[in-house]
Amino acid sequence: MRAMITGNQAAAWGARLAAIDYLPAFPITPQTEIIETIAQWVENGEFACRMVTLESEHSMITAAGAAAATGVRVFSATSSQGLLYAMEMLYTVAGWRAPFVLANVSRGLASPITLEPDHNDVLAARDCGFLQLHCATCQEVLDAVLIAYRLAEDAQVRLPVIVNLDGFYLSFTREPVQIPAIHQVSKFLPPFDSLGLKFRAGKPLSDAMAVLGGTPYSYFRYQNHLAAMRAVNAFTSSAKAFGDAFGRHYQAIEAYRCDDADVVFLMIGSFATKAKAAVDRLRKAGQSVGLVRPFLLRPFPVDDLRKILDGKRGVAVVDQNLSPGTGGILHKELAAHLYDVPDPRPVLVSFVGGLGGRDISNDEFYAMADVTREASEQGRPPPPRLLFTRQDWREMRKLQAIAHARQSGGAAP
Amino acid sequence: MAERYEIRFSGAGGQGLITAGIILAEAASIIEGKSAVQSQSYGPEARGGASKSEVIIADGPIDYPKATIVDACLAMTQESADKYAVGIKDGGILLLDDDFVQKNPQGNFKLYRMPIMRMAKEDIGREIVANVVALGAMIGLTGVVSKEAGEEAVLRKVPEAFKDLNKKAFNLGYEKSKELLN
Repeated sequence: MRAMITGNQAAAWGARLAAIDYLPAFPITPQTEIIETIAQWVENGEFACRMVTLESEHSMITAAGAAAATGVRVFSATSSQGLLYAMEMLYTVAGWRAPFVLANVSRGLASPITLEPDHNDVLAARDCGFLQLHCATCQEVLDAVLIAYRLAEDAQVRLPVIVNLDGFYLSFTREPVQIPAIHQVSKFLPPFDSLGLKFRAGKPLSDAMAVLGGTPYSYFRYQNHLAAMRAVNAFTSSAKAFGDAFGRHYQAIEAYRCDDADVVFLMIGSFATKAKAAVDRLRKAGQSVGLVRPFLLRPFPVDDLRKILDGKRGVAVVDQNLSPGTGGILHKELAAHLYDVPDPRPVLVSFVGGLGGRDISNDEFYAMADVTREASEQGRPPPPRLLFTRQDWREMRKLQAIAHARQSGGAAP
Repeated sequence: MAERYEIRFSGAGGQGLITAGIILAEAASIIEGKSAVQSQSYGPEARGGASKSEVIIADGPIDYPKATIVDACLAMTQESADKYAVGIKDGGILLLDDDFVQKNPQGNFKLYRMPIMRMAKEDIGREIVANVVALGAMIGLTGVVSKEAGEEAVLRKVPEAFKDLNKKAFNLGYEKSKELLN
């Protein structure tokens, strides 16, 4: 079935087709439509799962991890402040090795408060032990949820997975989405086999107990790391099985028109679709540019990245996040992964843009390509820069003038 | 058709303009088999104030789903005209509600006026179908999908008891727009 649905509805469809058993929920903009959609199906009798509204995201993730540990298939969803409120439990349930899928609808973090997207929320969770898939289209959201369950439940992995979609740009944008038939999905994704994980209230036992002295702690933490590293191969086989079943093929890193490119953009999420359009236009104008888009961000597919960037002269890393005091997060990760690649290494140029949903214009993509090409010719990058134009300045000045008028007791605008 | 055709529906929250956008996107993508995406403002505007819904239609795949400079725009209220009837392509189309928009936005586009709310109330008997009148008019003015595809998409969206009402509303908007073009 082909339908015009939002990214949120696509996430809900992913959960429905995965035949989830349990949905602990707590609302937050721009995620709420996901749980509303599933709630409506449950209410209408179209879909059977146990949905429970919790009193916070912290409880919600606790319930999700605990339920997954009883051996049922679990889905949940949150966004932004909610993800951070649950942060303590993200680490905890990943340590339990409880496999389930959590959709995060990216939204900038306070302060100042906003509803629109950037990636500081999901990247704050990059070290918690969850795996991460980053989507660029509504179709990808649905597909990623299904792939995520295969990945989470893989006997070699057994970790929870975050499927990330950008607020507004995906959450509230309708695109035609192919919704596969349930019998096809159940072949790709058989019922959850929890292996040894079968908590029962009647048979209490202590998993994830307190440890002191560092040795068992180090052991369990490193097991989490090894499991995440095994997810690179598990992703490849899950994505291949998905492609065979549904004809849509996903790579850990999408390389768009990269083969003969000497300059590439590197971005995650839906804003990368704008980079794609810019690549097409720049190609028409005779420039050899491409786009590198990590779909799998945890574990980081380092080998794929090195292969794709081999022979490239410049990389414009566009971070839709900001780590105050150091800059763009992806830029730093990328630099670390390329440090021990023998010369000639590509020159990495750092841009921070799209914060709080700010658009990135075509002209800015053209300028970034120019700056990166120039840097690759000189062999060194310019200082990192924020995408912020004269127009942005004018708007800010206007707002500041209004604020000042009020502060000084002047006439209200 | 051009590589990419962008349409914005704007008005007051609650007037059904998001639904109008979804119906147009379904007419283009599900019925006519083109590529289409629809996006909307979502927030306090959804319950009053100015609200908008944007549709992008193309023959090929659409990489970037957000409208930038639109080919055609509808504004049902003065507030939405002031806020959203900007960023229209040179030679593009702007349709205004004749009663609710007094001040014409300035720009290098073709301007049309139609008493959309009044037509819904007086000719059809229900103000609630003003969005479908407007949709018919926008399809008539732009030709971005066929009249048949538009009508079918409307009828797929509404409950059985309201099919006749909506069919009338759609056709009224469509015919009136053709009169404007002549």
